[in-house]
This record gives sequence, C-alpha cells and structure tokens, in this order.
Amino acid sequence: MTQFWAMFKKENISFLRTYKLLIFCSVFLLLAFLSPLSAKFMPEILSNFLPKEVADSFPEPTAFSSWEQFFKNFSQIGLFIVVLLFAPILSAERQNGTLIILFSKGLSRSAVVMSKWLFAAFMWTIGYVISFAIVYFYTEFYWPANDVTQLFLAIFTLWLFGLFLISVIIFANVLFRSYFSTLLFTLGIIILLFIVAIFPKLEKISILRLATENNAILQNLFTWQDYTVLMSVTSGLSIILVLLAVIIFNKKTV
Amino acid sequence: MSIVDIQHISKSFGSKQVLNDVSIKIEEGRIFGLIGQNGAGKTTLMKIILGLLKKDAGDITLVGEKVQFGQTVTNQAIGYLPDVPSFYPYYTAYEYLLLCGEITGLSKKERELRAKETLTQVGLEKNNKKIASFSRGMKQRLGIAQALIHKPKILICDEPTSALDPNGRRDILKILQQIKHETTVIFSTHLLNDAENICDDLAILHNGSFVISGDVQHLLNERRKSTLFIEAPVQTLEKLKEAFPEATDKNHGIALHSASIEKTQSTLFQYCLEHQLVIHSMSVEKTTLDDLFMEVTAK
Amino acid sequence: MEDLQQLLPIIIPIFLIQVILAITALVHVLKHPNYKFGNKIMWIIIVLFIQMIGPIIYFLFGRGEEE
Repeated sequence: MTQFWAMFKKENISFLRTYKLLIFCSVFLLLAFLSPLSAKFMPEILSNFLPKEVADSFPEPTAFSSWEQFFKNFSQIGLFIVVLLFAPILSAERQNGTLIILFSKGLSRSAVVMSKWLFAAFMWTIGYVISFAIVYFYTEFYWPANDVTQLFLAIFTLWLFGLFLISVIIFANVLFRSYFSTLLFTLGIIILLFIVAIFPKLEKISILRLATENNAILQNLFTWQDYTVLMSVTSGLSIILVLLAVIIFNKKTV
Repeated sequence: MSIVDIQHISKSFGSKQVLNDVSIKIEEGRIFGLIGQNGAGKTTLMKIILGLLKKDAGDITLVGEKVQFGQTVTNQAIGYLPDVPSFYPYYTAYEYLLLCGEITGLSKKERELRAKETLTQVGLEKNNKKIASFSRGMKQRLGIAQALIHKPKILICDEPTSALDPNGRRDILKILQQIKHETTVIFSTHLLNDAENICDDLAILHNGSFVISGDVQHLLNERRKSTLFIEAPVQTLEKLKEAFPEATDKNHGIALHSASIEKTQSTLFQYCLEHQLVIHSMSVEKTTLDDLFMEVTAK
Repeated sequence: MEDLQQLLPIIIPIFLIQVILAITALVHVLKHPNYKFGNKIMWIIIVLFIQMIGPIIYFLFGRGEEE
C-alpha cells in the first residue's frame, strides 16, 4: 500500500509538472461553460445567418438543450482529451526506462498499474463532477423552472463509460510501448463498440449506449432497469481489463 | 560466507548463448569488478542477479536468500545503478530520493535523513534544480545516491564510468571507493584502467563464461614478468646494449628479459660500477590488467 | 443589451481560461527556448493566436524536456 500511494502521489506531481493538469482543467472547464452558453445563444446566432422562417422554426432553447450540449461535449471532446492525456501514462515510462530503478528497489508491478488506473479514474471523476456542477448551476440560472428528471442516471452512464475507456487505455499501455499504438488500439475498441451497437440483439451489452443515450434518458425514454445488465457488463469488463493488465505486466520484462 | 553466490547460471536469447554455466562467489566488503568487452554478458548477468531477467538455469543466493524473477524480497539488499539511469526529469534530486526511499519502505523521517546523507555523499547536496538540467556526471552521481538510499548490503553498478569525461569518471571512482566500507560494490566495466584502480577482486567474462577471477593484486603478481626496464642517457644505453645482446629497445629505454631477475640485476649493477655508467631508473616491469586481459581473452 | 448582461457571467470565465492558458504557454515559450521542433517566433504566434488549441499543442508536443 505504501508503494501504491507513493506512485499515486508521483502521478499527481507528474500530471501537474508536465502541464497536463493545466490542459485537462482548461478543456473540461471550457466545455462546461460552453454547454449552457451554446444552448442559450446558438439559436440567436443562427438567426442572423438563416432566413427568418427557418430561424423561427427552431424550438425555444430549454434546460434540455443545455444538457444536450453537455453530453455532446463530454462524450466527444471530453473523452478525447482523456484518451490523449492518459494514453502515454505507462507506455512512456516503459519507453524511457524510468521504472527500472524503481523496480530494482522492489516496487511491485501491480502497484504501478493500479496507481495509474486509479489516478486516471480519479482525474476523470473530479473533472467530470466539477464540470457537471458548473453546467447544473448555469442551467438552473438561465432556466430556473425546468422539468429535467433522471439527471443522475444520465450523468452516471457517461461517467461509467469514461471509466471503461480508462481501463482500455491501461490495458493497451501494458501491451504496447508506443503512444501511437495505444491510441490506435483504443480507437479499435471504440470502432468495435460502434459495430456492436449496430445489432439490436446485442443491445444489452452495447457499451456505447452509455455514452449515446444520455439525452434519451433525460426525456424518460429509459430508466435504471434498462441499464442494470449493461452496467454490470461494463464494470465487469473494466475490472477484467485491469486485472489482465496487472497479470500481463507482471510477466513482461520491463 | 559469501555475500553473493552465483551457481551455474546460463542464459540465452534465442539461439545466442549469452551466459554459459557461470559460477562465482563474491566476498563482503570488497569492490568486485566484472570485466568484459561490450556485449560479453555483463548487463545480462547483473539483471539476473537483480531478478529483472529470467535465467535459464542455475541459482543465485544473495545474503542467504535465493533470487527469483519478478520477486522483490532480495531487492531490499541491493542498490542498483543501471548503465543509463533514467529519472523523472521534472523532479529535483532530493524529491526523487524521497520517492525512492518511500518505495523501499523507509519512514518519512528516515527517508528525509537518508536523502540528505546520500546527496552529501555524492556531492549534490546544494543542488535544487530539476533533474532535466543535470549533466551526465550529475545523473550518474544521483544514480549512486538512489542506489544507496536504503543502505543496501550490495551496490551493483553497470558501467558507471563509461559515458563520462575524465573528471566525472574520477568523481565516480572516488565515491565508489569511499562507500566500500559500508557496502559491497559490484561494478561492470570495459575500462580496464578504472577496474585496476579500484577493484579488490575481479572476474573477466569472455564468450559467456569467466576466463579468470580472483584478487586483482594476486592475479597481477602471479603474472609479474621477469623483465627489467632501464632508462638512461643515450650513450649509456648503447653501451649496455653491447654488453647485454638480449636487450631490446622500448619506450626511450631498454628491456631486459631474463630467467632470474635477481641475477641480471646484480650483473647490471656490477657492469655499471665497473664502467662508471649512470642510469636514470631501473624497474621490474609490471603486468597491467591490459596485459592480463589480452592474455586470457586471446585463447 | 439585456442579452449581453445575461451573457457576461458565462463569457467572463471562458475568456479567463483562455487568457490564463495563453499566458502560461507564452511564459513557458519565452523561458524555455528548447523546443521539440519549431522556433520561438513560431510558438509565440501559435500560442497567442490559435485559441485553446495553440497552447495545448505547445504543451503536449512542442515543449522541450530541458529546463
């Protein structure tokens, strides 16, 4: 446990001093502020360019539009930044050989993998929760009377999807030493998720739904019951990926 | 009992046999030089000792404990300096040592104390800069500091001086010599001069096995040549050459081979006295590690 | 005008984030003149004139290792 926390602390310092924290915070905060902003003012901006009849046909922006923007931003750019920043989390160290000295001091390999996974998960959670709080605040501010329900379920599914993606990244980091291969592998998994999503029969295990149905959830098209199987599958797969990463890494020559 | 006991270690990469049934014992409190050309298998052997690499056959015992791949029990007894140590460039030397101390399981107080002590030992105590700005020599010194942080019984250094300029090299050798009293030092090198300067014992690795091993001075004395080397003014040298036809020219002097050094020496003195010749110096030629290395690897 | 007043509480933080990011990147570009590629002028322009993306690209790909 000592080693685990030592490495976790090291990840924090590394994230801060390589300016990744700055990038992470800026992007997440910006995405958060932009969500209610674009929801509220996009129709007005568009009406300057479009014929009046078309512009008038737009529905009046509501709290739903704000959340729609939030989910669009975070399921795309937000997760993209997570992949971009965390893809080299272990592979870079394997490439530079910075772990050799620490291993020679008796550092356990599972402490390395687990601390890195937890750190990425921790950053994603904190960033996501703060962004959510900002969007929530502004949405309430601009649309005080709204009837958004099931907000918790909607944000929870996307959060879980993020955790799954982080587990995929950690797994890829153990398989590959290069940044590019890790990105490619993660992209491959995402493409696979899209393929699974094509088949209605696979609905129960289509992990992509966690990141694409958030608006539908807000419109009460789904409830917790619709996701119990999927959430268990996703959590189970994530745990398996991380455990596999530990096992494989234990057998690798640094 | 030996502090390191290596028994019948073999290792091959693919079809290439790197180590072939290697055995050696290393005694406590000595500086042990592992010598060999680049690619002789020095790093491989060290990594096996550290448990960073799997061995094909054989056993290694460190301070009474068997070494196993991936297991870290024995690592508490070892400090390791890799040939090209990589650190986190965004740490300062002090912060890095604290991290190392924490990983080896030192308490907060202990690691702060040890970090300061080891930094002083390697002469980096006044440095507050990030490691990114360190020169090679400074990184190598930090490498020694991190290896010593937990007061290991054995310090293993892989080619610690090879990439350094003469000043940096001298610094490292001096540090190694100073810590000999606290820890057994095993270091690999292909620089014979460095090995001769500071090693107590050595072993030469050639084509995957040890061709010779033992106490350095003993090995060299055993092979002491029966050759006298004489330096003198040119005219004197000419006369001496006439008197001793077996003499050969060598480095502004002459070399005299003979079966009995004592006999030749007294004949020479006699001759000089009789002919009133003055010589500058006379010495029994030493065998260097270079000679020894050439001899055992030529086979 | 009523629109603008409504806009301010959200425009200001967005503006601040961009300014902070650009200034941090600019200071780094000036203080650490060793880049993985490109030169000082190029990075100053990128960091100051390409909003958000400029500083991010600099920190992720252009920043040199040496202090």
